[in-house]
Amino acid sequence: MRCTFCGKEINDIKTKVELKVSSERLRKDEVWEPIPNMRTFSKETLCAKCFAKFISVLNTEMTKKVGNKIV
Amino acid sequence: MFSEINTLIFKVTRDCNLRCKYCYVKNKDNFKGEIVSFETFKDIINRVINDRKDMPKKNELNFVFHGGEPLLLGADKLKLYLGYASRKFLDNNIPCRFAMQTNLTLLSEDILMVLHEYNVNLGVSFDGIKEANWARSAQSTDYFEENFKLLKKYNISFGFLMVVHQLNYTKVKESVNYLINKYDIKSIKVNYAEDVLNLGGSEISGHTFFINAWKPLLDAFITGEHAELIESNLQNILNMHFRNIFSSEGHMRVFTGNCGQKICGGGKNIIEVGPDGKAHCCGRYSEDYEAAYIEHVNDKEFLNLRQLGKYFEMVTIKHKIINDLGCDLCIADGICDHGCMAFYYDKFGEFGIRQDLSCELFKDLINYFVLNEQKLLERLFDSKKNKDNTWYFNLGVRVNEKFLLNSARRFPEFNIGIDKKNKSGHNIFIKKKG
Repeated sequence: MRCTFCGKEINDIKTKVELKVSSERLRKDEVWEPIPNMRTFSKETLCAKCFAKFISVLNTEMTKKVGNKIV
Repeated sequence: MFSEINTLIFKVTRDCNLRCKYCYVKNKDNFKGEIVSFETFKDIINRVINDRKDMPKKNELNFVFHGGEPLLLGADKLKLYLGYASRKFLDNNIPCRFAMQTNLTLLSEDILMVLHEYNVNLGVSFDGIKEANWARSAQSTDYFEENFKLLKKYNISFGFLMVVHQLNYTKVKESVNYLINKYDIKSIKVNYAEDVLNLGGSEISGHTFFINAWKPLLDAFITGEHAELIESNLQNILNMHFRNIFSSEGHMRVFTGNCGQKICGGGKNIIEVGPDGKAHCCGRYSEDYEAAYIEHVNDKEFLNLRQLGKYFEMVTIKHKIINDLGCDLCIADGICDHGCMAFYYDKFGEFGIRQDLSCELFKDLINYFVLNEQKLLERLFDSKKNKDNTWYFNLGVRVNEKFLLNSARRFPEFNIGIDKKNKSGHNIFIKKKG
């Protein structure tokens, strides 16, 4: 089994990461309308090093901190 | 990038032996002699395999050789490329069918043999008989007829794409009838020309297109002159209209699609790859625009994020345009495709909706559908009913019975209800009374 990101052989921990997305748009008549083409699914199987990097990037970009508390 | 697409538009070259007056490819003279290299072709195929091999649902990929003119490849390279792709897809269990959009002026016996061997489905660009085709080629109708006969002789499946412009808009029905009578065609695509290079002289308005192209074909269907609704866009849109009537969800909110959708599938369901290996959201972009560029096939993507990000940009832009123009409150909202985003960008350098084309056309069309709803349902019923005189119509979503029964009152000559034998709950039956 190879890591789908770096391509190296995995021989300790593999982690599956899946991204499932669906979007809707708010119409003028205030109805949420699904956008069928935005229903999408993708996946990666990562080695420990790539998964740690992935978590770190998400953590840096998507977590807001105020003092020591995560909000 | 290729894991969820249904269509890959593979531009073999941007060069072409013809100079059609309405072509959207800019600066074709700069690409004289350009042909994708075998190395780049292999990179494209290997990337497709890498992206698709582990997907749980193996949907068929429509791999379209496109251009410019793809037959500029010649028979030897065509065989080399098709042979490589065919073997690789087979070995990796990637279902694929090959297609090609061609002007059919570079046919040879060798090319016909290769097209036959790999079962390539041809889309033939043909704008009509005699002078109706002169915006494309000065060749006579007899010349094209000989080529159509060769396709038949080699048992190559082909369909027609007719582009309607100032030089042929009065000849659409005559030309379609010619193709029906000569070649027994069951379907043809009739699109309007968009003058994306601003050369002038090719476009007609949406209203003129409707009156001269689509309306005569709808009339011919209603009167029974044509056994089927022959135009493929109209087939889809009419189905869409009746889905909207019978389903509380509405077609546009349920079905994914390529062209013909409120928010098209360019960049999500369709990807174009050029002879340099660069991938764009759709084959209709006339240049290497940043707005449509996704990535090179040799780039490494993570969770399809680059493709998703690019597509989401498109979605947010389209949402804003729809809001600004008030499309949600338009009478044609349920069937309108809002025109081609790529062509609009080619022409104006930004995204938008052609009110002189799309709005005029779809408002005319919805008006026609409403005024002829009974006759249209009757003719659809005639063309789709089974031997038990019943048409089972798949709405694609679970049917809301109260909504359906309320809608069915509009058609007093029919019994319409949920097909309870079908476990999905998506089907309705339509049966004529008496």
